[in-house]
Amino acid sequence: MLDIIADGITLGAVYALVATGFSLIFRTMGLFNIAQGHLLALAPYVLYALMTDHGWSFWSAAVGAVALMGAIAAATHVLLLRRLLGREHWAAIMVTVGLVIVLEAVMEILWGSNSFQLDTPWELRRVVVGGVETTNVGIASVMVAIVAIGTLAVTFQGTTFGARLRAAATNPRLAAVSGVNINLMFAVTWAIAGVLAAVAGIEYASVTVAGPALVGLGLRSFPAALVGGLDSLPGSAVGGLIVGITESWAVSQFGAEAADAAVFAVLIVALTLRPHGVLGRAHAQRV
Amino acid sequence: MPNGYEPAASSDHRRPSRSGQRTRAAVTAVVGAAVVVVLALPMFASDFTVYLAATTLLVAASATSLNLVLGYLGILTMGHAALMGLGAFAAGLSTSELDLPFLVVIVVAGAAAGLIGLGVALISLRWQGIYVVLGTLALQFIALYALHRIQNGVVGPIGFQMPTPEVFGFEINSDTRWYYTSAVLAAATIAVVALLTRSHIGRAWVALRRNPLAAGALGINVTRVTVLGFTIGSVMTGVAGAVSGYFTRTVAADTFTLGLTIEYLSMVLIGGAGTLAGGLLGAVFYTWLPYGVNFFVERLPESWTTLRNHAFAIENAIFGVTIIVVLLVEPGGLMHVGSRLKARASRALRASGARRPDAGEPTKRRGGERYDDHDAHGLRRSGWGPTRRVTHWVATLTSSASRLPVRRGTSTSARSDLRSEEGLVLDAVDVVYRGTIHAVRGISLSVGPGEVVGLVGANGAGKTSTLRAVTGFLRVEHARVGGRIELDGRSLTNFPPYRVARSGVVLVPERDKVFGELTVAQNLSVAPVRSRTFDLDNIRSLFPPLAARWNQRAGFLSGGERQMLALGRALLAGPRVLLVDELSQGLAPRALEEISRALGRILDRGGLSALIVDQNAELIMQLAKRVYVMEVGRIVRSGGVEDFVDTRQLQAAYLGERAVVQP
Repeated sequence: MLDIIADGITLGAVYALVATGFSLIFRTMGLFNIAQGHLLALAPYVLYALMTDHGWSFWSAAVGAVALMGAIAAATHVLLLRRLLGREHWAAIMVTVGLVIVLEAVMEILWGSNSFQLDTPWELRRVVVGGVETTNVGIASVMVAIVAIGTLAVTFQGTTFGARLRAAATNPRLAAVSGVNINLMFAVTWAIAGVLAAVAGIEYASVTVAGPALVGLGLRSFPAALVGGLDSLPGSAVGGLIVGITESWAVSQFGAEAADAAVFAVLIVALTLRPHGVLGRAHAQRV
Repeated sequence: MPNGYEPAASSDHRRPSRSGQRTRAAVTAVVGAAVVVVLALPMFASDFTVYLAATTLLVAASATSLNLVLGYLGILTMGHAALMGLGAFAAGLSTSELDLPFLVVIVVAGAAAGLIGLGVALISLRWQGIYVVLGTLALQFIALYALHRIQNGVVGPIGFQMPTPEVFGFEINSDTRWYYTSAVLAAATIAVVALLTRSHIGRAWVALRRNPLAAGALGINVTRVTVLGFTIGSVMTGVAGAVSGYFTRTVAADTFTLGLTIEYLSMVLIGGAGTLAGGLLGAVFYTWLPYGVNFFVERLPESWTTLRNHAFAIENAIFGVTIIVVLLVEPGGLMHVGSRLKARASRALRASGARRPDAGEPTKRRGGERYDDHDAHGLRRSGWGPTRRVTHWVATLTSSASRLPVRRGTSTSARSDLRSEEGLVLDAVDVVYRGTIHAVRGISLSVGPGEVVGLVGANGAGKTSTLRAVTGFLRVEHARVGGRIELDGRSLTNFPPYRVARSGVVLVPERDKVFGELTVAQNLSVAPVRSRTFDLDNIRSLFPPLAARWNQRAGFLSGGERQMLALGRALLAGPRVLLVDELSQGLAPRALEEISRALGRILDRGGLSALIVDQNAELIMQLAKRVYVMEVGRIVRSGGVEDFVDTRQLQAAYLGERAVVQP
């Protein structure tokens, strides 16, 4: 059981990253980015292509892949979603759905639908911490999640840029008439989400395999974001852990195909008990 | 123009006109011809075409049931494939285990999917709006898992083998027979949707889609009509899934993935969400696309092996791109391409002078005024995007000049005193919302350097719209702004809001004037500081209450403190012209006194000019040197404050003489 929890925590660290990106976009623009999982799955492909086709080293290819995903995410806003601001929420969500179909087709055409192993510069090793078995990459994932979410939290709370991002998220009209370039802020938010998804995708692919199955990781990050509550960064982290532990427990009990169902069942229970998430707050809405 | 989004509304209010009758006759003829072609198709088409047509119609039935939920209820459901699967599995179980006849099985399948849909609706509608997406996504994954378990437990990995359906001894065993069966199913589904949308339930959906909270306030039982709609949609989806299972002869869980949901959602959007034929058109596009793509891929050069080997992926890419293009360019889907052509045709007809002066016009204009309303401060209230976009687009198409005359006569005299182009200058500015609501009609005004100008008028006179036109926000919201807006001779007309602010025209809005989540200090740091006259210390000393609450969240501030914070933030942005919307609104007299004194001090320093909108004549007399009086979108009077002798006279100018109580 302890091992399951340990696995769940390392997996949860990956979910926490993706969920953070997801909830940032939701909070800022009020839309569900269905394509999150595809950005995540695309990153290891790009990394692989940069290494094998262009002879880049792992680390430079990883940076390249992460940067490219950030750029693609920002471009999604600038080229497509910017035009849909203020429209009914599902219009923008459906654009991300369209993006899902396109990205899937692109992956299929460029790389086929096979899974492959990433050639990492490190070896995956079992590590025993306090009697619990885990892996070196797992520990690294937890560190990455803490550093990434911590950096974001400090940025949002403590810097002018963070204040502007939050201003654009909470009241875009007022931010705009105050001189904030809200489209730039939105594009930055997308870029952050793209970068977080890419990092998570590479982390996950380096312990298992890269391939279309990674898309599911992105889909299961929605519950992670919601269970914790979309209001706060710590919420995403907590939600990530809950989802990670649930998944590793369900997989050990019922097999891999139970992962989606178990995670979404937790979501339903959580939202029924606390409609605004574990750490979320209720908001009044004006008619 | 029959507005597909509000079928009930437009048909109820349409006046019969000669052109209407002609259109109706034409529609009847086209529909009649289509029915004949559809009925006779198997007689002249190839077996393959008939088979494909049967597939299309089955897909159309399912897509139409989804359209009810997505297009009419405005709920983005991710569980469509799961509901189809539940229907199909109910059919599989009741044939393989119970050996029930076809018609009974269909009822069972519909009931099963309907029950699950009802459950999902009851659970997830407790969650707010967008969370329903998550609830249905959960349905999709959990149901798919359950289907897998059932399949493995009952029949094994191949899935259920479905028998040939029999209706009163008549076997549906050929493509032709399947074709007619599918046609009946598709027609029935469309008919149900048509009937529902014309009923009071359908009208409640229209209200809901536009503003759920307001609909609730109007006495519509939001939960009930939504749950009802979702459940009916689920029943029809389940039936479509079951019939499709019979058609393909096998039912396997692997069919009903999230990918299938996404394909159906895309179909509905491409065909036209919220239009009766949208599901059918989308199904045609979806079913026939592979053959179109294959046709071209087979003709690609031999050397393009990558593309030649991935016809399926190319087809998907085209499908995905089509969705995005539809959403960005023509949110009404293929259905609206048709309406567009029709609108063009009727415009041509109008141009030829063959019509009565006002025929055909009422639907659109009244539709606009009745349903596309704005709240007091000109913000878009209803959320239903497609309608708005389309209306706007219709407005540009049907030449606004003829319908909404711009009265330049009233503004010519005003324009002549705008010789000096210094300061903020508005010249013949028009604001039209959604092509129908003419909020500002060719007004001209100027605010010279260092000058403080008041803009007064009753509610709805167009004051806020005027300010919003200057800030550049209206263009973002697809309102039309005409005329010239300049600061020191430089045009602001095409600037996005943040650039208007950075060039020195800063708005203090009427409501929502602070970022509630941010602290006072953070609120002041949001705007890039451009002011040379003001810094944070000035703001602290100008507004002492703010200094006391420096690190508290702005959401906890009182009305007066919010106004101070908003003024402070605006001052730091380095304004040359300050636009203040309803300075006094919602302020206690003491707070107002404090703020107006502070504002007076700021303005006395010189170098800063201001346009102050308010209903409080006394305040305007106190702060401003000149006043413009607005009435229904026009400036009806202007002059120095001294021209108005006392506040009562000024009030009378915009409230009407009798409204002012004589002492």
